[in-house]
Amino acid sequence: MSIIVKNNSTGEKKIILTVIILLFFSFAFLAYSERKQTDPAGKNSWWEIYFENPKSQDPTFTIKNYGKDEKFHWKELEADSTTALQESDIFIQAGQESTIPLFAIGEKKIILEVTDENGEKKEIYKSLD
Amino acid sequence: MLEFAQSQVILYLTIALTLFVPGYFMLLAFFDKEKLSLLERFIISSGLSILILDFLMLFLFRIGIIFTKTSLILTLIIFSFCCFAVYKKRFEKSLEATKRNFFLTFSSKQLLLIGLFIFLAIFLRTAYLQNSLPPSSTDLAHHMYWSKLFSETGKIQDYTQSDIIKENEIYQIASPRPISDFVIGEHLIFSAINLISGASFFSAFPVLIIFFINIFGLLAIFILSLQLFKEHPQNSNIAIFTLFFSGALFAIDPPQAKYIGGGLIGNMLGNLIIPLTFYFYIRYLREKEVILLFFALFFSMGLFYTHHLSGLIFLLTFAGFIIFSVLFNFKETKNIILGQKKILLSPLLFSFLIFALIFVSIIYTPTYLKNSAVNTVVGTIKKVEHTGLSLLQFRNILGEARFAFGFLGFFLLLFFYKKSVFKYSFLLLISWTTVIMLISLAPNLVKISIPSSRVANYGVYPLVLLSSFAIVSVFKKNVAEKDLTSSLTKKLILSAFLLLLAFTFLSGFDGSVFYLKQNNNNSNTQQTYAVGEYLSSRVNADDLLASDHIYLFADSWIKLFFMRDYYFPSFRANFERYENGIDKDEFCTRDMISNPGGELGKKCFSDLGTNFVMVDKTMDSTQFQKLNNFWQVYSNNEINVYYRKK
Repeated sequence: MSIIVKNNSTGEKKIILTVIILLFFSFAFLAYSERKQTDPAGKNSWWEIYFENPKSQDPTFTIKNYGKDEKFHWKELEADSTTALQESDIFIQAGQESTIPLFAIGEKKIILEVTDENGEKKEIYKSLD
Repeated sequence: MLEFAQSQVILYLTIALTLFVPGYFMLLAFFDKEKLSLLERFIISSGLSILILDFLMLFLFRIGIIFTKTSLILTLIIFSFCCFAVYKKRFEKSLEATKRNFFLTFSSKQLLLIGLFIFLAIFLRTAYLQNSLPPSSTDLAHHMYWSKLFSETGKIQDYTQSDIIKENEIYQIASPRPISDFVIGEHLIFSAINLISGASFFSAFPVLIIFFINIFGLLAIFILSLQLFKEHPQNSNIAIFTLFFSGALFAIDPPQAKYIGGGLIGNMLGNLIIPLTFYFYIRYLREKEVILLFFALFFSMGLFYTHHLSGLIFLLTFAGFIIFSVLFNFKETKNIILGQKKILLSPLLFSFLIFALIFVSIIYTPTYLKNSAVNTVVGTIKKVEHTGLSLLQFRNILGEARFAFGFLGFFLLLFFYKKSVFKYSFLLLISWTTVIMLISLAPNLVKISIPSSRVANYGVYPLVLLSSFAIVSVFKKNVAEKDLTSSLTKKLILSAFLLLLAFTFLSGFDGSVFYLKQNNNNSNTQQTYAVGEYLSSRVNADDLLASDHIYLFADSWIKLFFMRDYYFPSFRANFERYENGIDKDEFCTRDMISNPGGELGKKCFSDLGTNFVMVDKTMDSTQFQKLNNFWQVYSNNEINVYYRKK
């Protein structure tokens, strides 16, 4: 029951403080959790490859690593997609990227295949005609 | 770490400035300390601040002031200062009033229960929301697009989108057309917080703000309950149980945490503002003070600038309330209605009516009024999801425990109605519940065409009030007795109470456990964001992108990387939307992804000039890899991007 009482707002203050404190800790936890999850150098397990210039024939490409595995192997493949025209290993730390300014050997098509330590492959390609 | 801590401090200070300060000072200017308790001021300040912020930003826009960090902070400070000056002038002479304070009192056990339920409410929601970050939901993306647009341009933009149309056998992007899906109040607070704090829309901040609104919505029901059942000897316990039924139980089911993570901002705001609106109407009917009616009307007006569906629910409930009051409490209602003539002539209310008229007609008219969207809601029901729910579906949405106790409470209200001194509380709850049920279960009777399940979710809060009333009314006396060994009857009643409580817990927490087990998709969200970052830095105004909404996660957030149009990128929707004959009248967005090499797909790519496509690499890459004119220019674990060479 609501009553008028002098100098007795302790209960209300406790409720207000409870709400503020709990919300503060909840918000801080969620914000920190979100930040950790989106940290490129955090505990993710994915990576990406892309052409720096997707609209032109420039073969320069980038590997960006969001996982803990650091060793990648890239290959430029022949048009039949089995023969490697050139290849190399590259080490990229979590959260880092590496841009490879390639001089393409292929004549009709640039096919780039990148493999990580677990054998997972990704491919990008563009034609040269 | 220091930078993170700094950003958090700034964000929390911004939340206090935008979602608390203006409301607090406005209450200070109008209410002396004996009218509102500290807790009521704290809770009402949040909803009031949201409305004040909206109205101030609309005013700034109308007089040509750009939204910036400085302009917003200054505006809020000036407003608060003016209210403080009014407070000083009005109350400095009234020494008597400043000495008396109005408190709500609770016993230490009650405080413990309140603390426990608030803790559960916040804890369960936090546990669930951890998996909703970074933000990925479609609805939230749509809303944040507009908030980001207002932030970036510093002013309010028209709600428009550019569709794909076919004219003279050529597909093209149409000129922007107005859309009524959004209401300005859903977006301005996020723009303000982004501008003042610098918090990114791609971070946790939008979800945190919706979470804040949700918690204060629960607290609004708490103080509404205290008002509704003011004459009830177990008033405090009923209010405490509302925290249990709305906060702790079904903490994740809609319209709670799932709506927070899902970004259903309008619903959340409605669930905060509707209870506060009713709070002031009930207080006005009880105390007959003009200032209370002023705030009731202010909140009512604010509701229509915040969420059209909530406004409609409120309007229908209010209409039902008046009808029920006339039918079942005719004499008192007649006196109140006839007494309004004098009240409306009071300077405060007269000023408010002028203010409302000027605001709606000159400052800003809500889009759904400008675009006559009301016509689409009233009339024959066409869409399947608007045709009403079965009783079982209705029960599932509301939760078994709340449904059972809620209807027990409904019938108990009818039983106690004649004995009650203040009848309006009961009439409000009866009309609120009846209106929700009618629109959810038999919309054809009232000719209102809105998603039935969405309306049913509005039934949660009146049923929470009814459930709390029921459980306390049935068990209050017998459970409160300390000497339980003296009577077998008391033991049986206590056992029944505990059994019911156990059923309620199991029912209410079952959903929470289910939702908490769901997987965290944050890696998928990040990969979609990565594509957005890649493309937005490499495409120009002539490049067009098609995306997929069926298999890609968080794809709607791509539009925030480009900010070119609400409908950019174009997206392939769920297949049934192309088949139902209502939602989609073009098939370009479907065929450009499902069959890019087919006749329609090729024509669409050519006519529209679309040259980039992003798709799920497992589900949709094959059809592009077969075509020589598509280059695979980007690949991550989930997504491939193709460039169409012209």
